[in-house]
Amino acid sequence: MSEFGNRAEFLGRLRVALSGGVPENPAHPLPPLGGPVPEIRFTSLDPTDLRAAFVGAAQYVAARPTRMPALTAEFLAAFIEEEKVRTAVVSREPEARAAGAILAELGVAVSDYSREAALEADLGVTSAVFGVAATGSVVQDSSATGGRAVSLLPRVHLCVLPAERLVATPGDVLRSLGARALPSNLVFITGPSRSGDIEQIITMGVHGPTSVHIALIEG
Amino acid sequence: MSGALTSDKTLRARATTAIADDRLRVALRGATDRFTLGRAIGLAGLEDAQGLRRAARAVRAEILANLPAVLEQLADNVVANGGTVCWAATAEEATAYVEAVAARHDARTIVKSKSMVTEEIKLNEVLESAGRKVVETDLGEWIIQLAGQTPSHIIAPALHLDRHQVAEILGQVADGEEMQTDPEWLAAFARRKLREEFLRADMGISGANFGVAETGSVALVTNEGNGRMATSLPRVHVAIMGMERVVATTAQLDLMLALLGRSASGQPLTSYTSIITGPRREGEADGPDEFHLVILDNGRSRILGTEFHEILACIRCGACLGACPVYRQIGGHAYGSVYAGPVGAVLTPLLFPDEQTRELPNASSLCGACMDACPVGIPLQDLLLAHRRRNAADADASTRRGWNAWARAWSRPALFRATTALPTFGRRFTKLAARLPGVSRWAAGREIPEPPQRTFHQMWERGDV
Repeated sequence: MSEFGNRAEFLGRLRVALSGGVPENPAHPLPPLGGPVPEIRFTSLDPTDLRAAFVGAAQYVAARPTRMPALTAEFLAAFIEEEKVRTAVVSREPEARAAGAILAELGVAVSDYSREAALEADLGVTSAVFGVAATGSVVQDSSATGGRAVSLLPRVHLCVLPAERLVATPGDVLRSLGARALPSNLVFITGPSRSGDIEQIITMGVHGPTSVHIALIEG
Repeated sequence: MSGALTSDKTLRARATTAIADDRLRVALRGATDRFTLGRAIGLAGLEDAQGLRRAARAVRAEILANLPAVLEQLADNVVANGGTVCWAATAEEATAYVEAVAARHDARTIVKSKSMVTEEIKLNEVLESAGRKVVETDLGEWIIQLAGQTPSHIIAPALHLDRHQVAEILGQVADGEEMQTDPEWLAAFARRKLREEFLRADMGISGANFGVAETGSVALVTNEGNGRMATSLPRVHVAIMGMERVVATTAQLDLMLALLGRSASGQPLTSYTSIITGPRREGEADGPDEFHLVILDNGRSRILGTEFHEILACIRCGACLGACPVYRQIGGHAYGSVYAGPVGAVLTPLLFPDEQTRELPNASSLCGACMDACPVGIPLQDLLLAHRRRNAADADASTRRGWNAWARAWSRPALFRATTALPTFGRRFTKLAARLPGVSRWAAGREIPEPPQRTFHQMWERGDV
């Protein structure tokens, strides 16, 4: 059984409540209903250079984007040194697996994602189905990654993002969703995990990663 | 004592306590200034933010007008995606359902992502009385849960506590570890402790920022990532949604998300915006095996179609709290309800009508700053006034007679002149009058002005003006 409670009675109460219409508010009348939902335009977004816009927006939310023609051992060697990475888990995405292969050659203990492996790992490596230039977000699809927590449990997250997956706004992603079958989990990741709950002082990594790196592959 | 109230004192008593707390007022001012500034910067990032607010008001009104059809579509799609739907008419039905799911899975530990609606229905109490451990995982919520307190702000629940108090409270679960007071250290401590709970948990409970009817999804935003943890690691996920927290389309979701983060904290998007569509699929290495959506009425259908209808458009960003000169002084606890600030002063008396909640609409200066801040344009001051009008209509006969006499007197020029001349005539008695029973309470919080020597009419006749 996949439905509980009384749907007909529940909705019946609502229909009765709405049957007389809604009283007008003469002081602040409603705008006309039924128009199209306006698209969101960002004041600072240059739509002719999404790559530069993405890098700026990602830095604004404390992610660490780097533009590069291709993912190289030099970049990854410097990255693992800086973030003190010894162990890593990789998602199912081809870009993540390719990065995992290079990391393994650099001496990192790399394994496929499992919850147990991710708990021990310093690093989670993924790709993304979209990058969003206006907000610096990377969008992860659980059917592509094969697991939601690759980018969540380890202390550091590296996302390998081909530049052709950049779109301008969250709306470019969101408005297309109704037309397709959704994965069980789609998440916009916009910078590292953050909290301001103690004296409004921002701290990183209270649950998710402390640090999010994005390798933007332009080749 | 209403189900909503967290304290049995009066509004005046709670406000008096709050105002006497200097540390609270400093924290409140700092946080509300920060949110207000963040909001201004955030909205400046959108072209025609005012136009978007107008559009958002229309979108929310349209959804509410079609709510039965939108909810029906949502429920059908949740079920089609492999989820389960519960239609809960009351708090009791909702909590009984969640407890039944927990019992079926023998859930000993339950992790929760921050959710106002679960506070409204007192879900934790029900689950705990069945012997289950319920752990709030938003850092602020966890702190106040351990302290045995209630949230003081929609998005900053532990606003009223400083680092030393936080360290002392978290020390309860330190197992002898020496506590430090640095916020970074405290956050790292929380990460370690709460991660143990996430891994142990049999069930995760979240609210829903928005249900999305056309896809059968629930959108959930958190900055810490506790929402992702609670909905990814345990084998059961239960989302609880007030029935009005729904959008019909993903285009509407786009508009709401653009305004929500900016109005709450100024962020273009919160760190994690998850769109959850049913349980895990074949081949996925994590995610819950079961997904449940509880759609809650609990008094909301009594608001629908009344003069208070538009309060159901609220998206719980907290912007009206920071904008409100009353909230800025007294903070969330003084409202005595899970919903504080202007939105709480409108909503609480409707959800929990009784003698104690009906005075909440008086906690307002009717300045209208709340409506100017509201991302979906709810005319909050009109709704606060509507409450006051209702209260006045119910006022006792002597109060009504007094006001009616005043109205009659001031609609006659001669009586108007006579009564306005009275204070000028009896100037020196004003201070004494402030001590009269009935006047003294009013006068206590106010400066009594020195009346002028002549009324405006008298000055006009003398040619002084």
